[in-house]
Amino acid sequence: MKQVEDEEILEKFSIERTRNEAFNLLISKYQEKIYWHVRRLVIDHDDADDLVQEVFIKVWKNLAKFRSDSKLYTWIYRIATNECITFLNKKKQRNQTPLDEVVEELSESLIASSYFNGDKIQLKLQQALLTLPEKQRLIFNMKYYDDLKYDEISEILGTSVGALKASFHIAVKKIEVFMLNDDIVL
Amino acid sequence: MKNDVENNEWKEEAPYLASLPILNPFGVPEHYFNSLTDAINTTVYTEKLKEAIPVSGFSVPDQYFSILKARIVIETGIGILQSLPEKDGNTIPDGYFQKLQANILARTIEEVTAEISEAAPAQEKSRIVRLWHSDLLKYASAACFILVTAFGLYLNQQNFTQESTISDIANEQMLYDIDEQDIIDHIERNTPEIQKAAVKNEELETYILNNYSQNDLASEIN
Repeated sequence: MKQVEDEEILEKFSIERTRNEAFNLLISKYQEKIYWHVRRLVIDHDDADDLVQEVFIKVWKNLAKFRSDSKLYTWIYRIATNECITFLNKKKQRNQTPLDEVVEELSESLIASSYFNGDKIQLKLQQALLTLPEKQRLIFNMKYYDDLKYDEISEILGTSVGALKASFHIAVKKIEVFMLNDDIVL
Repeated sequence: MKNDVENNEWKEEAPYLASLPILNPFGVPEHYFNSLTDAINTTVYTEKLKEAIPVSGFSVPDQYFSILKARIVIETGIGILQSLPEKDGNTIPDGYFQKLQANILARTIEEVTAEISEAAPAQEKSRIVRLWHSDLLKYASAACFILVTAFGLYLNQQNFTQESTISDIANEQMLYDIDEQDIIDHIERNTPEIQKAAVKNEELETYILNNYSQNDLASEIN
């Protein structure tokens, strides 16, 4: 199925009569990408499901104000990323737990999840990711899984490309050490 | 080309990680993405409604929220009372409610039976009236009995008096008709022998003088 161009979606959305149609096209085009981006950050499916809907509500509310000086999908990614960070911060505050314990909690939820299909190596990789600071995890996910360019990640996170590169390399090294550490048995 | 280079640079630094296939280990419920569009549309529609109708249309009376706190306190007070034991000190006999239930059931059956018999006039039973059920009837019967008895006695008395009077008159008339000498003779002939053998006057005088004082005799004569 041919993907609709962002420009076409934006044009249709600007017309009252075709606004709903444009929004449906936008959802169809981005819902899965946004879901996986969110899911890899919050781990739990139900949390991801709620957040995806919140993301698209914000998209609906603000799409009329969107300016084409950035790409549509980077703009939606930014909204999704901010929603995830807000969610994780609230979770920390609500539970009044230090970061280590939140990571532990996410790790446990990963093991207990009925929607995790990976093998032991995949599980170890996810646990390695959970040991990273939030921003490094974000960058790693966008580079490793979504195959985004630094420019695009920079646009999404509002961070310079240089800083992103550094963060990504640090993250990769940490993961490599974690993965090669045989003391960590799952 | 630039993208390929920057996306592959890290592979030299992390050869083990690079050797792993890039797989998505997460799963989703079956047909999740088929329904996700509808779910998002529904959520967005709800948000649109909220924006289109920002005011709910409901209002509250003046000073409502200032009174609300006091009301909650009162309600909480009631809640404390309700938390007290429910026993009020009153007791009932053992097995009261079991008997009560049986009594109610029995009365209910009676009522139902009465209603059924009223509702079925074709099967109307003869009505039983107890004769002595009414006090008025009892007293009236007693009064009648007394009156009848008294009247009977009165009549009987009257009859007896008349008969005796008639008999006396007849007897008296017969006596007048009988000669006086015949009566005297008849009496003398029918007097028993013992009465005929009279005690001599001298013996009687001696007996009296021996057995009674002069005072006794004087008082007897007087």
